[in-house]
Amino acid sequence: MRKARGFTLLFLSPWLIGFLGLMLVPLLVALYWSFTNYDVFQAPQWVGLQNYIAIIHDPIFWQSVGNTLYITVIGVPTGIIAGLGTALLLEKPIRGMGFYRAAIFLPTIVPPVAVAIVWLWILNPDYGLLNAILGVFHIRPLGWLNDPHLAKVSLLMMVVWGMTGQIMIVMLAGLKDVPVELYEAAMIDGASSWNRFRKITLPMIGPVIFYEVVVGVIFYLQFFTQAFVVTANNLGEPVNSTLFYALYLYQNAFDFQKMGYAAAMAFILFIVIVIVTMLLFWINRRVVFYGGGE
Amino acid sequence: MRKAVTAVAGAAVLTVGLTACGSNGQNSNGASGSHIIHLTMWQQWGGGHEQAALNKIIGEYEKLHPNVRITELPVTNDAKILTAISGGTPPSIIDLGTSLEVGQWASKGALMSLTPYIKKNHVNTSVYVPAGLKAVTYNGHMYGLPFMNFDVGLLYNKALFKAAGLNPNKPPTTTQQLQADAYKLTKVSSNGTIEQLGFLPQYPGQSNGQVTALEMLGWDYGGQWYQNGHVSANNPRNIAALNWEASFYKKFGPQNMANFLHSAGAYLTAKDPFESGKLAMVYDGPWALDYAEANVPQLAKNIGVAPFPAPAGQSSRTGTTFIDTNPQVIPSGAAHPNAAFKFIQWETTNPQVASTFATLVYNLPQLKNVPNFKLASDPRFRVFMQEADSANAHVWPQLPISTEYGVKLDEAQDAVLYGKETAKQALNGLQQTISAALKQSK
Repeated sequence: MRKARGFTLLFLSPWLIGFLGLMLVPLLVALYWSFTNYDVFQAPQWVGLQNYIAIIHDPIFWQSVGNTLYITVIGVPTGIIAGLGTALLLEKPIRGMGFYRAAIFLPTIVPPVAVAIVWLWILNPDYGLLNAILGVFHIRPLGWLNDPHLAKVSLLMMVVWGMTGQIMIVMLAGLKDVPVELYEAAMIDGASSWNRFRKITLPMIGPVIFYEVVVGVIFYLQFFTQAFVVTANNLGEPVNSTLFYALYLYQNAFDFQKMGYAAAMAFILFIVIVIVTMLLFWINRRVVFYGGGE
Repeated sequence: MRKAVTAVAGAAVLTVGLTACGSNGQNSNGASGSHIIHLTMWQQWGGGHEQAALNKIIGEYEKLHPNVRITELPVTNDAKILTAISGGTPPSIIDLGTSLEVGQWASKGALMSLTPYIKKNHVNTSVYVPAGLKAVTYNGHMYGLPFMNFDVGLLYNKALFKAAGLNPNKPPTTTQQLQADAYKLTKVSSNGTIEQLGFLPQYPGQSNGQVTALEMLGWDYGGQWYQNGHVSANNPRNIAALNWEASFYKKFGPQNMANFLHSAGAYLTAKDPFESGKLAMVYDGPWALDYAEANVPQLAKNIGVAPFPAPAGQSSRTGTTFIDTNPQVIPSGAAHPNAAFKFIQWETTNPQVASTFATLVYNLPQLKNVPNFKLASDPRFRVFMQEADSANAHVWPQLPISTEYGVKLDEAQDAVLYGKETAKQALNGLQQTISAALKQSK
């Protein structure tokens, strides 16, 4: 028995060491730092709740919260609609299905940094592909990433483009799991295709959609990479319209050496993510249908 | 089972091995067995001919001091530098590209005070141009030695002046005149796209490693950013300067201006707005002449240089400029600080080095007296040298929050140029944020 426990621990050790060393300990240290004035070089000084109070009064903090909520609220449904839409289109056996599936999945394997750099060119106001296409329809060139009203949408385009393939694959797997008999029965009853989608497909793939919602919300709340690459010279430009929560956190930590402030921000984000995820699970229990039980 | 144990043991050995490699890396920075001292220098000149110039003087020093080897490496990412310092593996010398970080880093103990070394080695600091000294001084201590100063003036494209019916030998002498000329020099297509622009107030600005236009224009209008121990971001003169900048944006539309800027190629390349001949006037430094010469020789001949104009009736401030230097600093925890200091002392006080380097990279010598400095007889270059010596040359204040102040000032400027806030709102906000940050840092 004792011997067995020893082996269990041994086999768990890579994960345990990783969890303790890379997750739990840094988390606790960050919690401590969030109550201190800490600049990495000098010993942290205990300041109690001062960082949290300063954060609440920081207008740029709230701007970053607004930007992050915007991209989350728009990004999650857009990604799921795009992923589910392509999955529905490519579920039926059509000619060249393999090619289409691969084509839509392809962006997923491109690293996010490379995606951002390529899209910088696509979105270039003067020489960009997108404005050239708009020009064909006599639409005046748009500023995209340089326009405070369009910058977040521009970032969303590149992110959704990069993520749709992955969501599509998961959705396809979900769709394949829906029993054919349900559709056959509905067709005999004369249900329209819209009704079959609404009354059968959607409820049956509910758990898959729920999974994508949870993953998407967490991703967008921590959104960083593409925005960081695109505004590397001037984080959050134009006019802080792309200064997302994680970007502002980074700026405080590494540009301003306000590690305590950044740690407090990180902790607030951590708590928010925990609460939002719990809320999603609460909704899940009431709304999502699990055919075979949870 | 045994296999698993072997695997774990193997992983452990590998980890130890990698750790050992890590400490080897440290050693190459630090003590060495032989008599040769290895110094590492992280520099922010980047690659190209500026790196070549640096290697030239390093080579000279190594010839004079055969027991010293200096390896330079371009490291422009400040986060990387700070990580190395806090991790205890900094280079011996950092050649910073601007003094923007000096106060902030010094206040946190990331940089060594050089004042004791200056005393010990009897460095006569009166040989330096005073503005450069000011840029490396924080709280009464010197945290670096100045090397290659730089300031800006008004550069203008004479060919574009001629084409617009302006006298190419009469650059504007007031900011009002500059604006009137700029409007004449601007061409907008029927769909609002700016094809040629007279003046782009915040270019090249901070994102290109320089002090933003607003800082300089604030001084130009008689404002201050830090006065008598207090943040003075919302000084009425600063607000006036920002309003002047914003008027260009109002005239042509903020988005059209932004599109013009972001469609252009990278700064100091043939595709940048000025070198590509799309921007008629720019506030920039002497190095821009050098780059233009290399990238677009036919344009370089046609660049005029004038002191940056002041508002009408305030001509005493004509030629207002920010001035900065490349601080040669020794980070805390650096190996061989004595040897490192000896090198930067030689590098920054040797007139011949100053002359050679300044000629190679078109910067201003940090020394008052530089014999045989041929560039000094070039009338265009002389504009920058004269400005550097005047009371109108200003240094960004060295505070524990210098960087944050600079970054947030840039944001405030953006908010006004894009029409999101009025100049007064933005600078009042900045005043509040920076005062609070300064208070908290103390």
